[in-house]
Amino acid sequence: MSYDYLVKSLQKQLEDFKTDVKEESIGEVIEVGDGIAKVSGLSDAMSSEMLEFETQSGEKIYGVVLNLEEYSVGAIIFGAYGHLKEGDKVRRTQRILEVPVGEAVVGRVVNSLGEAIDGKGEIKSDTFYPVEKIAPGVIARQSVGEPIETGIKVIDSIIPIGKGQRELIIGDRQTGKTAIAIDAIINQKGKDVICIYVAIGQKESKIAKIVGKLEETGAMEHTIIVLAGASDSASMAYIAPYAGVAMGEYFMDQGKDVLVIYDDLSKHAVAYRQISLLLKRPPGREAYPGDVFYIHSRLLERAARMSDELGGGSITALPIIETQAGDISAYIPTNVISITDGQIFLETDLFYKGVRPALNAGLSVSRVGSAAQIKAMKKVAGKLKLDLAQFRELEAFAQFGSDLDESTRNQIARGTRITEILKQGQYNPISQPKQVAIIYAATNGYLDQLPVQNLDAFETKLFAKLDNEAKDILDNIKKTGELVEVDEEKLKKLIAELVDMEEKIESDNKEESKDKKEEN
Amino acid sequence: MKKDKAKILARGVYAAMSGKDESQVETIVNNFLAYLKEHHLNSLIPQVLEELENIYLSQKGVIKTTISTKDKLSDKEVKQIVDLVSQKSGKQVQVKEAEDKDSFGGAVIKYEDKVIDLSIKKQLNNLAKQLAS
Repeated sequence: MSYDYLVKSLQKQLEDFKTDVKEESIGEVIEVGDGIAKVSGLSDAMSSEMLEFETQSGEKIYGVVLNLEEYSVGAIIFGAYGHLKEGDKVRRTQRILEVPVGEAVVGRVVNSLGEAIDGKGEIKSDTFYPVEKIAPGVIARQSVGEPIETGIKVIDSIIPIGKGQRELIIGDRQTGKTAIAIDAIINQKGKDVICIYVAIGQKESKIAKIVGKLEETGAMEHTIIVLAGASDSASMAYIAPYAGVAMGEYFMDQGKDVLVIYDDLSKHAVAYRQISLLLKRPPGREAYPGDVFYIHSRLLERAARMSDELGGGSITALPIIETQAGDISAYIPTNVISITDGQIFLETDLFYKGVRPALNAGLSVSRVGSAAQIKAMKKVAGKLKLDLAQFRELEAFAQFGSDLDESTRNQIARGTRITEILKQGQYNPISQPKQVAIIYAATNGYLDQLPVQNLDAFETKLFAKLDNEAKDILDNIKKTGELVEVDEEKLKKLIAELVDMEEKIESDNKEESKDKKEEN
Repeated sequence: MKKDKAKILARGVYAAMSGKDESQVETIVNNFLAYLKEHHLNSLIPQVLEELENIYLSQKGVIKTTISTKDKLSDKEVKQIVDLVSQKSGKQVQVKEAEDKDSFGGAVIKYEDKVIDLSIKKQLNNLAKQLAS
């Protein structure tokens, strides 16, 4: 670069320089509190408009108008408000808060404003989406019909989730709520689904662990993590889910499928409660403000499956709610239950009994139902639901053992085996065809003679055998979504062969009953 | 809250005083001062006075305009600015000139909560922004 070149390019740039003088609205900070500010002036500011605060050192901080009062404007501040003082200048921007969206964000960890916080450099995106947006209307949508596979047997079989559905994951602390969400993300690998994990008020160490796990499994390539950590201000936590869904909306508009996880909305409500109380809005039940229902309903309503004319993209939402001591009738849980299309209910008792995922099959529902299942799964899962329901009724009698009549005993045996095969380790999603195979084996009674403790090993053997000897069955189910008769016969034969080689418990049982008879 | 309070007090007093004769106004002012003293609000008196002036001016359809410049403006320049502001706001203009040694040149016009920044400093900032992007 020569001197002349430098001068010329500078000249060229200066030629373009326009001194556009505008009339600006400038207000003054009257009061700064934990993440909120009161501003005088700005008489023409609009609700939810972005404001630019300028500290004395010239640093710029952004905020959003929430309250319009008679003599002042109440705003939330994003970022470090420590240097903000009374009397600092505040400008209107005439814009609504926006976040960067697009491919540049995928694979990154960002904060609620879309700024990178993973140390991999700035995010260069020229597309921005507004954080607050009205959800698509009736005409723009179509009904939920395609499954989104979580790779978790018990969910894909009895409470299937469809693309565009909103399914709540609810449970006490330490019941594996996040684990289900992370497994669902890992299972989307290679399925052309963009996953967005929104962490609200979570420990940064937990997020570091999750990012590590996602990178290890290669799932980070299709994942965006929006993080508003426990040490970030309440305003950051408040907009995090809206920022996350805005990033999802971009991909939905491109006709892609998106899975958004909000972990968790209880902390989001708490953050909003803090902001509302600081802004002196009147508190209501549990000190939440009156519009706490609306903050969640407008967020979850943005999950949708768009009509084919609009590209057919979708956003599936998996909000998470943490309950206190299993109380699902508290304010926020009931609100979110009523907004979503079903819930996955996790229980501490089941978790410690070793049933993991600790899913309560009785209380968990999916209101979209089997419309969101492949045909093969529908075929095998119908029987599964019935067996499980009958088992739940009889479970209490299980301790009476041999005093029961044979059909009851058989039903209990079937139920315990089904419960056993629905157990699944963490970070171990299973493909749909394999799920179909193992559930087929369980519901058709092939496992009834095997000891319960051997079922885990049997499952591993079955999957290995399927991979080695009958890949065509798996491929057919994957391709057509159906379990055709020919394949069903093959599968039957294969399972029977494998069961034959296992040790049985039937002989012991018979001996036992003989003993009983002799005693009598 | 402080500034709000001054505004609210000023409005109240102004409303109480309007349309009253001189002796009544005097009692009102005395009562008001007693009230301020009783509630330990004497520190607000300057703000209240400023607000009262603002209310009075806005009732008369006059707005205060501050022009900050490095050097004093000529009468002709001031007249131009006054015309511009009164045209924009549709009100009469009362000018206050201020000195701002940091602005390098140009002028900053403030009225109500609006600012028209014509200073060299601002333009240099804009230029820096453009060159950096």
